[in-house]
Amino acid sequence: MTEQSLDTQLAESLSALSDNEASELELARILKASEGDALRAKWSRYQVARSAMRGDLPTELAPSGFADRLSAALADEQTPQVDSAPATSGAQGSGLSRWWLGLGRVAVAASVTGAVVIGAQLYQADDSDAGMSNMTAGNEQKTISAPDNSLPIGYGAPALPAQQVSAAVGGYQPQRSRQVVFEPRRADVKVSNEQIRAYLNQLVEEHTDHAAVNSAQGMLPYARVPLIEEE
Amino acid sequence: MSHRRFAGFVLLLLSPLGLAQVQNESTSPEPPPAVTSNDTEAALSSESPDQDSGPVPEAGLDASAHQLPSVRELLERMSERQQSLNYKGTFTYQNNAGTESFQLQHWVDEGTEHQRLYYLNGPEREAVMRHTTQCQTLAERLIAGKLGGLADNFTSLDRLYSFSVRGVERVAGRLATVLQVVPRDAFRFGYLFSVDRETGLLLKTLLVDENQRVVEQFQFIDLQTGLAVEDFASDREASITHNVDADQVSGCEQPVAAAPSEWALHWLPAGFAFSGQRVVHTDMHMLMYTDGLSTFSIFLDPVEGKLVIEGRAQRGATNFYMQGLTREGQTYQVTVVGEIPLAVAEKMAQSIGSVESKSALPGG
Repeated sequence: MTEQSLDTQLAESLSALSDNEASELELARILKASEGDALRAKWSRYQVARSAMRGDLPTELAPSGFADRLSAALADEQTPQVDSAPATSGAQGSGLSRWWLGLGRVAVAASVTGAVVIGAQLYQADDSDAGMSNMTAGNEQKTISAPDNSLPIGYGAPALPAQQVSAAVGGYQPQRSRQVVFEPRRADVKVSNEQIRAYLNQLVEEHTDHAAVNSAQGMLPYARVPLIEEE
Repeated sequence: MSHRRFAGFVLLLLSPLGLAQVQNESTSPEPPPAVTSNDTEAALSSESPDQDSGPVPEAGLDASAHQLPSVRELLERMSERQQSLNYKGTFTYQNNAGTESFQLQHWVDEGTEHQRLYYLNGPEREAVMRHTTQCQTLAERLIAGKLGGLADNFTSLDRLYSFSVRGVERVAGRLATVLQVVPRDAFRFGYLFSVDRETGLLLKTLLVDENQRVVEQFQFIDLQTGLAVEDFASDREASITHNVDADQVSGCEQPVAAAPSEWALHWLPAGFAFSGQRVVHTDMHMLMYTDGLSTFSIFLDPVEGKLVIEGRAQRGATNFYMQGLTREGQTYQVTVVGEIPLAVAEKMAQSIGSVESKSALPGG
């Protein structure tokens, strides 16, 4: 029996059990099926995922560093992703059946496990003030410190960022990724954002010529520029 | 070095095993444990620093590959192979706003390196670059550590970034060594490179900002190597073509000056070397800097009157900072553009002045 063909009901029961919410019936079902290797493997994965999500995974249980990676991936995970999951909203809203809750938990557990393996989440550099405050004002080079060896946030997270796609706010914009987001420093700027964008697009094209030649990455930097306003 | 070795070793143990485990659980009813673990161990030992006694038989690897290659070797190889091999492939580019895909062709014909990037999304367009192979760019020289002349600002790449091999992953159906590049200061971004173990080509790049967030990703989804020059006949002509002469940009004919001739930077982030200046868009001065991996440009645009734009802008991994500057009665729009932290771009924009005032400031 493969894990994928594992009885859905069983998976829900298992998930419920891992949260100490299994009924007697579910427990009996699990015990009966627990001879199977697939179920055991799944059970252990649920346990690891659950512990890691709660941050109480004992290190001796995961000497491989699994916990570290998982924690790193989860550390700055945006909560809205979880909040929007049906399981959570269902739990706090009208009393949906246990069946539904269990399903939700399976989905969360599965996505967490998958998250460790592949993909990268891309974050918007929304608050660069944080970066500014980190910079010292001095001219001197910062002391060379021991580098942080943890993997970056987003490495190993789900491939698609939790983007808000809302029809109310502008709708679908195919060129959005090509736009420069400009934030004036003074409120009295008399130049339109469009003009600034066009200007910066010209500059970034020139800059990319330089980056392609001088960054050891070949032509890859051109993927960043639109090349549309070419003479 | 033991720190790096240890970290590398732990992750090496981790990633492939974790992957193999999940795959076994989810796909094969009766996992063939012998085969899987052998594969994984072979993949591990070839990279592991603690295993360099005794050759490990493995296909597609150089004889020395069972020892951990020095970072410089790996980078140099990556940089060199990228230029000398004939290959074509498709890659995706992903940033905070979405994903686009591109076709890349690279071939060398009679001492000239040709590259063609064909946009698969949006309006049909292409970027074409030519480069004389004998003419080494500044980045190549920085990576190879062959820059004795620029003693002032140049420091070895090892002093700017910490490098560690983080394991093995599969990209575009090929085995790749994951190299993590962590900046040692706040002046540049970090990288995760996945380098093809067979060819040394870069299969995947993640760019990591100062807050440890991935801001963009390049990833090949398909790559063909070992092609003949005849395989690169262009079948699709794009209506918009952006031509780049790399020799002209890098100015390889003449040795690069250590500093711009007309402008002085009162502050330059450590490790960035001046890689030339150009005049673009009629009268705009452009100053170029690189540390071997990261680049930024400074533009000085003479403007009518006193109207300058001040502010910051961002697109994907690229940060912009705009500010005004007046020199000898002429107002300039200063814009710093680069894949560097915004705070660095801002500080650069504020630190630029004319050459005369250079001597007045300590350190220059």
